[in-house]
Amino acid sequence: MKPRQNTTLPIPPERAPERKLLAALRAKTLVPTLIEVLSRGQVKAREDDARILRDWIESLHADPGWNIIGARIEALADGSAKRAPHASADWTQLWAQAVAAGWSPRSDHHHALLFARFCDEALSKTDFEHAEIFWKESVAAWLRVLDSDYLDAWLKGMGAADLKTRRHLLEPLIAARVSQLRRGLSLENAANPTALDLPQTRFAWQALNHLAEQIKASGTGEPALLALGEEVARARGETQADILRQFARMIDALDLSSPDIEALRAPFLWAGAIFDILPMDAAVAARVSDAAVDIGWKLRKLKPDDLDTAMPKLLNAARPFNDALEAFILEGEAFGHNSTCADFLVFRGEHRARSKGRDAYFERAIAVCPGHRNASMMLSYERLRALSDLLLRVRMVPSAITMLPGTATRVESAIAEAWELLDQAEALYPSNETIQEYRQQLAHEAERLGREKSS
Amino acid sequence: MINRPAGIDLGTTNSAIAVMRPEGDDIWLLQDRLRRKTVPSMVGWNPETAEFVVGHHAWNRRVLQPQPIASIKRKMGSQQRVEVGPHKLLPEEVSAKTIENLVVQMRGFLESLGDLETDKDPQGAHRIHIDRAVITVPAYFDAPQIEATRRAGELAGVEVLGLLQEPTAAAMYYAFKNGIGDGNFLVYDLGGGTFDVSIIRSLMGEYQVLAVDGDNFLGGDDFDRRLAEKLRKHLIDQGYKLDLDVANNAEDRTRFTLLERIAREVKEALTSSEVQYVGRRDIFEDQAGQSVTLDLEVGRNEFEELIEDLIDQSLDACHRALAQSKEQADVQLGDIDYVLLVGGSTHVPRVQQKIAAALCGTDGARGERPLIDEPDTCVALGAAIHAANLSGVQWVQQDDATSPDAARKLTITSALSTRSEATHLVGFLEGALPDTITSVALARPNGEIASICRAETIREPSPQIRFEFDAVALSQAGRHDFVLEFCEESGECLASFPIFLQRLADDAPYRPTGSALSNPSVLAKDIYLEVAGDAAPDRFLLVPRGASLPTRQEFRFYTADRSGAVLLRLFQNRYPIRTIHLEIPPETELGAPVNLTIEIDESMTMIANGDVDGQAFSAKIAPPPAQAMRNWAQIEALLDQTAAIRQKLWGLEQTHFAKRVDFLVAGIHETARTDPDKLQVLARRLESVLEDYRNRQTELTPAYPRYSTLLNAIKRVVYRDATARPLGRSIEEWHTHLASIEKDADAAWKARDQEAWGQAFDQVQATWESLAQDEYRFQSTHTAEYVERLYLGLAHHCEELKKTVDAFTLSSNPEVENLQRREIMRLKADLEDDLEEPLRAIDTQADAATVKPKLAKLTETAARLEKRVSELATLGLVRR
Amino acid sequence: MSEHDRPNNPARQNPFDRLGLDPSLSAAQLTERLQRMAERLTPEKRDEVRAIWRELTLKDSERIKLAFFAHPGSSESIDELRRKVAPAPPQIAGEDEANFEATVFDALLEFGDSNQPGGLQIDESLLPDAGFMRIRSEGLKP
Repeated sequence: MKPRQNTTLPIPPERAPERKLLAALRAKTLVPTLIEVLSRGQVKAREDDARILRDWIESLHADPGWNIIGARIEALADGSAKRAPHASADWTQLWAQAVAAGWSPRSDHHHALLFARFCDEALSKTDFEHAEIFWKESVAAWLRVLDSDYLDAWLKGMGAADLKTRRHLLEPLIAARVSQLRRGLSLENAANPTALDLPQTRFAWQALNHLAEQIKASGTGEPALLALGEEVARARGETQADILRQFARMIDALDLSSPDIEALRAPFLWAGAIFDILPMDAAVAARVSDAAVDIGWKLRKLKPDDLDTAMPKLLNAARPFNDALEAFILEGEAFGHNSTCADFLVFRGEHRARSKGRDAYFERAIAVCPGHRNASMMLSYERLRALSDLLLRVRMVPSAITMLPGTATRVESAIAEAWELLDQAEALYPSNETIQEYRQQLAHEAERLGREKSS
Repeated sequence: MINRPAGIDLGTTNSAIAVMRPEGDDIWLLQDRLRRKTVPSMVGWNPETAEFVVGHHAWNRRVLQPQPIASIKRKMGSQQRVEVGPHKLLPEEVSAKTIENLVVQMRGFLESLGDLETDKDPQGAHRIHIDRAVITVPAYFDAPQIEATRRAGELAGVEVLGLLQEPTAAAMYYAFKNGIGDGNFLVYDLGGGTFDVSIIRSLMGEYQVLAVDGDNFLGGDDFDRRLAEKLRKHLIDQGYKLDLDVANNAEDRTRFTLLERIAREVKEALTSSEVQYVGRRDIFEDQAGQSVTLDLEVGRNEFEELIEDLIDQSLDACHRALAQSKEQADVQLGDIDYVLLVGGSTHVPRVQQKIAAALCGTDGARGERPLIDEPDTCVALGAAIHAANLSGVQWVQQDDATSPDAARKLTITSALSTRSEATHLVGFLEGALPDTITSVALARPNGEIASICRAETIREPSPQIRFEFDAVALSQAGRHDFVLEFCEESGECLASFPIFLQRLADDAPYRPTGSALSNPSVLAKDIYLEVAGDAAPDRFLLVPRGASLPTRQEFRFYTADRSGAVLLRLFQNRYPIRTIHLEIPPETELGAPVNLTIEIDESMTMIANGDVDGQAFSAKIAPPPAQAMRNWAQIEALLDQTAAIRQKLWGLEQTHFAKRVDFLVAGIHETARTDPDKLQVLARRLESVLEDYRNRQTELTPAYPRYSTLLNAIKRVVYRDATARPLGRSIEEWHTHLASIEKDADAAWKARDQEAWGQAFDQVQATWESLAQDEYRFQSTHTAEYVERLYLGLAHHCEELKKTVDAFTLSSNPEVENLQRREIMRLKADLEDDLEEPLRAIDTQADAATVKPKLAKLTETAARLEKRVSELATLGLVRR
Repeated sequence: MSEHDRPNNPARQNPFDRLGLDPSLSAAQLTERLQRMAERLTPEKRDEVRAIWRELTLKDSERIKLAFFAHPGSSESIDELRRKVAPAPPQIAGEDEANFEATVFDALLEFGDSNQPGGLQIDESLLPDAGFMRIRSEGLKP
């Protein structure tokens, strides 16, 4: 880990009381302005901020970054410059320049804490836009702090240089985000366990992701950061497990003896909303698809009056999961769920309103689960239906003699296609009783039109 | 006068009382004329004077009838009354008499001291008055026992400022006496009836309790009993008839008690000698009427052998405590600075040796050996220190003419003594006060004003006038008298209090008193709530042991069934301490919120508040309903069950089980004859251990044969056609896959790893079901045969459900049992109405297309009923 | 968002920041500071300080974590700093041989109201959380 700057002592040397008093008074004037500007006008300083942030002011004054923003801040503080509402945009640039010029790790330590606080404030006003900006600034500041030997010196000064403490040091950083995630998902809210606060969930998830990505991208070897990355991964896994558990409970509570389609869809819509934000893995896709297929089969047995409208609705609600499952299976994951995935696809085909395009579903089902009985059968019937259409057209051609050359070609290819379809249908589902019948019909037409089957 | 609180050690065998001097530099300990510093915790009755006798007087009557009550502490918290002469008293009523006696004696003692000081204090403004106290309790006491102790104080007419855990008191005293401001203490407190171990840290004189463990039924009394039993056996060998039934025969009880008294004297003598001769003539008459004479020698070795395992149990508790302190605060044995021995029973040499061996030395604590220093009185002395901290120094002025409510109280919360040349003075005035006080002046006796400050009047929670002097100069060592004058704007003085401050000499010892920040009380045992687990009740931790008091925790659960009731069963460790039963409307939605707040204050009063679906409840944790006493037949049944369970276990499981029950079983055999109270306690403990094991699967589930069946079925389907691709995979792929599953399953089975076995089995089952669906899906489901099969299956399922409901074993807890009975009635009705009847009404010969949906619907109904049956075990419990 | 999670809820603020404690203090030093603080408080507030004390000193690793998430640098109140600054030499020579030792509070009491323009505004929150002393501002020094 290379130090970014010269070793800075975490604790500045003792100053004379007069100097300290002066610094305190100076902080009193500068802190409120700085807070307002840094937070882009979103946050007002608290009464005790000047006291707490006195050290920050001192630290800033010694940093190169102060050369960039110092004059502006001081002017704003003593009122000699007006605070322009649109100053925000050029402030962003100014701040970036200041960061580039350089802040000491000690100043960045303050920045990291401040931006985290601004983030919390923004969240309390559900201002996700600003919250995101502040979160990113905070993360960036933390990474700058930890990209120096500041932490080494700090830990040494505290007499706590052991590795274990170091690894757990940064956990509070993500604690608020993890609890926000769980709250957004109502994982601790037993009274209303299916309530979802999607914006909170999204923010928390993306914030954690951003952190993990930044840590990875930095290539750091700092144990505190590496441990943090692991912790994020662990929290994500745990959250997913809890979500699935809740899903299972919701499915369990469904009363199928008097099915209400909206109630049946609810768990799937719930899961869908969540996994719109969180990534879906094979396990999740399989679990949800299984549940949907299971209900599908039961519904068919129960034969409620509204089966034909209910099934498509159910399938639609669970569709994203099955689509994902399909992709996983084709990539080689999710062994053992092929059958279920295919079932789902067959249901979709069966309950499709228009008959055109149904075969596509059955084909997909077979791709996912070769030899799937139901899909094979359905596809076989589709082939036969297509064959039947062809036959209809072929029958309309009066005779071999009166065929024009163009027609002849078309007829020839039609009959070839028909044979093809018949073969496929047979291959798919040999025990289809109508195949023989079609074979005879086709043979008859071929003969009639002088296009014997050549093979 | 100065109202000063006392510290009271209410011990099993002996009690003591102490009061700290207002200056904070020394402690007065009650001593009688014979310089005895403790008072026996005995209460008896003198039939001649028709009066209660307590303390030494009661002890003097120990061989007379009626026998005075001893060791009542062991019964605190139970509702069992004891006979004291013509009266039947609750244990706390008995203890109240001991406390009352202590306070009266202390008042007398302080008066006699005060008589010596009249020249310094002619008006008696500084005479000491006592009506408040801190009473100590073993750290490991349960909530009901603690409540009973507080009540005892109140019944004695004392305002109980708080309850302090005994080991903490001992540590406080030790630190005070030796000027220790920082350090880690392990306090080993072995009293007459109870054993506590606490790990306490002192940081700049402030206390934190890091861990607590112990046993409420382990103490010197047990040593006595073992020795008494040995004496009894010796007497039997001598030919006396002494087949005693202590539980049921009063005379036998008396006989054994007399043997215990002798045993105690022998035990004490063996502290200083290797061998003790016991010669007593005509102690009592045996069961044949013969007069019994005891004549033997007891060697120290013999005695030590008898008590070895008891000491080992106590050391186990020490190690548990150390594990807890490591987790809480990273403090391990090597970090312990002082190992303190407290309580009369630590005089026994073997106890000291074993502790030294286990805890001190090269791998152990930092001290070379355990410390034993005033073991009989250090608890009371420590309690006095804590009492002083809680209350500050309080001066009271009372006009005789007016009512007591018109009294004024001045409380100083800062220390009265200091070693530096200036100190701060902080405090407040309460009582009948005019509104117009604006400043407070600190005046010397000659009228000169040393300092003035502004008075601050606050109204909440009660009217007070607060003041703070930042720097009061004390020029030389010694006592400095002042008068605090409360003045109004004009300067006129409306109230004045003489007080004093003290400057200690430079070489005066450092007296840490742990004032503002100390957390001397922690919760000793976990508090749990019984919740609905997946198939059986589960325990959810509400407040962990080690939680510092006061504490307040809020929880939210939700209802898990529609039984129409919610049962909140609270446990401390394994024992139920309170059940809150609420009836709620049966239509209440599943998942209705149940809010619960648990509050425990510093003196360990526990209150549970909450609401369910809008209905509020509040309950104080009172003693549980009197536990049913077990008779010997029931206990024998328990022992049989223990043996049966032990047989079913093997390997590590069996070793664990043995470790937990062996000593309980041995204890039961032993106390059957000698100690009926402890017998009940041990039986209860054994039962709760067995409960854990009864529910536990001792074999892996599902069973191995089932797994083989499924696996073979899979292989049959998969390998029958070389060209087929079941589930889209080729035969080779199946080969590999199945081989891997088999390997995992076998490994899990051999290692008895339930989790891994469960996973392997699930995989096999999932695979089979996928294959089976393929297999059976295209069997014709239109035939009447199929319908018939479905019907029969459903009918069979219905029968099974009925049988399960009928055979259900109801809970042993009466409230749960009631709920279960109610639900079973409803289930039976629903089975009849919703399943059986409709099933019978179905004509299986009718068109399959109409019959099948009906059957499908009934299958779902059956599934829901089955779910309700499985919920019977956890009825009323909430879910997290 | 529940009460506890509101950013302005003082209970959520880092204890070092909230009480003006230097995060680099050792457990012993923290105890000393908090002791003095607690003595002045009403019992309810004292419970809060006591809980914070336990939080900060029970386990070293926990204290270190909290310290790292506090703003670095000590933060004594301006008031305390003022006290440390050596007072200007007395101009009123010896006329009032009052035998009492003037405390800081006495001095401050003499100089008028904090709401006077030109006087230094002292924020109440810079004071220790005492609740029963109201400090008047310092006026112009003689």
